[in-house]
Amino acid sequence: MTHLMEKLEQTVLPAPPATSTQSWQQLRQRMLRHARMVVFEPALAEDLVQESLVAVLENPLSHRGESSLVTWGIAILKHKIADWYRSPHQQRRVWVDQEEDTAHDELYDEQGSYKETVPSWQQPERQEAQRQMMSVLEACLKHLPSQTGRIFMMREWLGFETSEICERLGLTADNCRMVLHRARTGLRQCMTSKGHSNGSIQ
Amino acid sequence: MNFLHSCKRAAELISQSLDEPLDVVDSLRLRMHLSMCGNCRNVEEQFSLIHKLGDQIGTLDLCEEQLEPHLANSPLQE
Repeated sequence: MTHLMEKLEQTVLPAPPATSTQSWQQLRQRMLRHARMVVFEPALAEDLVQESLVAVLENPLSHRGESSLVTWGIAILKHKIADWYRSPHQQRRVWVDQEEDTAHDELYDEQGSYKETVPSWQQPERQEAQRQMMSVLEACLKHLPSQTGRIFMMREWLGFETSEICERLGLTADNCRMVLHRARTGLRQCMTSKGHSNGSIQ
Repeated sequence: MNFLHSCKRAAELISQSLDEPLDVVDSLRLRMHLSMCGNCRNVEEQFSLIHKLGDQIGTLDLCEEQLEPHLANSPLQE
């Protein structure tokens, strides 16, 4: 790691001042945080992040300024993780369902109607509102069961088709749909309650 | 009042529709349910917002570049 940071510092010296060592550290932290949501093995997540950082370094002209550095870094990371899932030795990972199929049944009455009114969310049109909603979403993702969170991230963040997720994880199509539905319902519930407490969702 | 589908089944179909096209019958029944059920319309709105945000995890909080141009120039922007 230290070696990599040294290499980063040396390589980025001629770059614009925006690409400081601190920026790289922050980028690395950000990438790690997200990688760990889809890749459970910590060492592997670390490897994928490092490979991505090196890839960013090898093409330093492809970004300008700090924000596009992060955008670029995250885009590369997503590709690296997707490639890892698609590599042949990753096929047929064993899926262990730790959750009951009845998750979230408490939301409905016997007829399958909502027991409580579903509140309407304010559309986050302003940038600040979008940021707030994103930080609520990220916080809520951590509350999902880890397998459920991972499938959600594979679908929504990495952009895998559900058929491919099923294939890679050895799930049936029905399993896949059920898990994604569970994830979305869990997030919806969590975001509604957190939104109410900090006033960003009405 | 919610004949055809229960809200529970409607939520499953709303989620599924974000991932794959629904067959004609399911799609029609879901649309009919939604036309009558405010709760499920709110669920649909929330699921699609989560779906839209998902792609931008890790990058949304950065800068104006992430915004669509009409939002960046919106008079609401301070």
